[in-house]
Amino acid sequence: MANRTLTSVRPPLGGLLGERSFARRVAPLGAYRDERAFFFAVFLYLAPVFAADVVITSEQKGAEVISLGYIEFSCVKGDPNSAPRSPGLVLVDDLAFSGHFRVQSAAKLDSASKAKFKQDGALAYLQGEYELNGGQYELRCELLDIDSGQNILKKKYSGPKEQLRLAAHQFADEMVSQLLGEKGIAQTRIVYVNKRPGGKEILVMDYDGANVREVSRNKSINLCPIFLGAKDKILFTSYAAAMPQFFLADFTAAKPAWQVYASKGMHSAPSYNRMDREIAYASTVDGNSEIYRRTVEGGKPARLTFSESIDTSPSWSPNGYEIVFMSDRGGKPMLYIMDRDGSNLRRITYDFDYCGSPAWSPKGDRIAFAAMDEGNNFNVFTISPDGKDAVKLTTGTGSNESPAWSPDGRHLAFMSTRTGSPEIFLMHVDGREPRRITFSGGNSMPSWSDN
Amino acid sequence: MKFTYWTGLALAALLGCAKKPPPAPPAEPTPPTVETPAPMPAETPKPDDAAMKRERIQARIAETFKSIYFEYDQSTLTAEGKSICEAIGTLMKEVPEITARIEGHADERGTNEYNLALGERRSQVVKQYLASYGIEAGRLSVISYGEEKPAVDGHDEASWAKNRRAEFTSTF
Repeated sequence: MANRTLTSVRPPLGGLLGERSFARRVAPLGAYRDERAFFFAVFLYLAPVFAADVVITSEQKGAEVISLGYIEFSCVKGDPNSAPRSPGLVLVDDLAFSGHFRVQSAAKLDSASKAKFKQDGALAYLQGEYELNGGQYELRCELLDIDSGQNILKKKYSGPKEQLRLAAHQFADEMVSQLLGEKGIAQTRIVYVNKRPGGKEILVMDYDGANVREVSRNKSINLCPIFLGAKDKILFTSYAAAMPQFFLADFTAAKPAWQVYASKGMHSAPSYNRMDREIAYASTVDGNSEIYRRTVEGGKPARLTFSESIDTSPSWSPNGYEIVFMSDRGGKPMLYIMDRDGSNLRRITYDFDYCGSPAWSPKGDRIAFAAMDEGNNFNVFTISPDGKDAVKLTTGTGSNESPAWSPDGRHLAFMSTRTGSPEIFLMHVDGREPRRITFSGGNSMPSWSDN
Repeated sequence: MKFTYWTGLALAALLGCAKKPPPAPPAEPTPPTVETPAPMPAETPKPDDAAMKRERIQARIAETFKSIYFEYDQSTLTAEGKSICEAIGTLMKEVPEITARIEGHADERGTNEYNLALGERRSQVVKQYLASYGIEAGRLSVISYGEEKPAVDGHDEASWAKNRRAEFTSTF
């Protein structure tokens, strides 16, 4: 009989969450490693039907990494080599990177592999199989209780073969949603700048570096890309129209469309405020680089800074009340925060010779930035919005710049020259496990989509 | 000021798209350069004289519109920068047909966003100096390329010094 069981936030799941099973689950408390895990489990049970309503506090988050077993997915029909990577491995990569899971692999389920899984504290294991039929795939994924063998989560996906990876990502997000009550990031994308002969173009890729697609192809200089909320709307600065202006690439319709926000002066460094559908950005429309905000649809821009210094790189607080930006008004480029109307200005960084590229975290509690702290090289830091508690996240050779938050606030994408040419890397919010996701050289200015 | 935007073919041609590439993406618009010979007037009494005069002016433009260099993270003109500006101002006063685009650049150190603003500031400083010298603002335009168009590719002080600059593209 199972005395430790993985539960799901969202009923109904095969009757696993009935009154009796709750009683069974609460009884053997000693089996849980600590009290926080206990609260976590009870909280999950008490959670209402809608996972979106579930709130897990930061203490509870990360209290436990869930151990899982993974039985290698088998290709039961078609040539497995016609898919670049097994969907099972794509799924395992997602789970391991999420920070929520620790995964042990085995070729098949037998008493030895079960023992191995349980030794690592696994409560459940994953198994699955897929078919490749001509241009189509079918993928079946299951998460099962390690003792009872009962289904915790079971899904079937099908579609064109090139979307097999997406299906694996979808199952990873289902698991995060069902087991942790939050939105996963496995289906997110990253947009970035790629230097190539003739200019710099905007590219978009899945968050794990796969599935690279072009957003611009104008042989000009294109910079500062961001998603406008949706995964298919990308705003960026382009020199294709003589003066650097904002272009909006919209891939939501069957036929991609572009808009130009034409105006005097240079427009750059946009940041999106999803609460009010506004962008903050830097513009030289009044001669010097100042910060402005305007709605996405148009309307009159509001000028927020009035200084002869350089003001640029605004980033919205997640509630849309405040903006952190970079300014050299105090002599050196440093970070400042102002209210959304430009009032209540205060400086938050004093150390280093140069601080830039601020990015406010999705939870609002940290600001990531790049600071010049080793000769001419930058490193990525986070700091509290009150200017306290700076934490350095990168070290070693090369420059590390342009931090961008994942929508769940658990990871950062950044540009690093540690391997020579600039590439995009991901890391956990505490700097652990930096992972390179681009390999072509000349890649910079990453920005992460919503989930 | 209102947001204006256009969509459609012209833009699609400019930007291109991943799914359906545009017929032929035009190169970045470049203003005519000093090398471009002007069309010869059809019935000039002394074509050789006019052509020679043009050539002389173009030679002077080539030697006068030199790049102006800046210190790290600075946009103040050095003594040398001022003397280049003054020579340019003198020539532009003498030949009122000359117009100039001032391109501001930065070295690779610092953030891309800040360097866009720094390049803009450098180009504005040059424009203001020329304006104070008596050149009409309408003959001068500015654009910043930040660190995106280095003159040289190196990663040392010698290269950076060559990249912190204002360049001119003149039209005559």
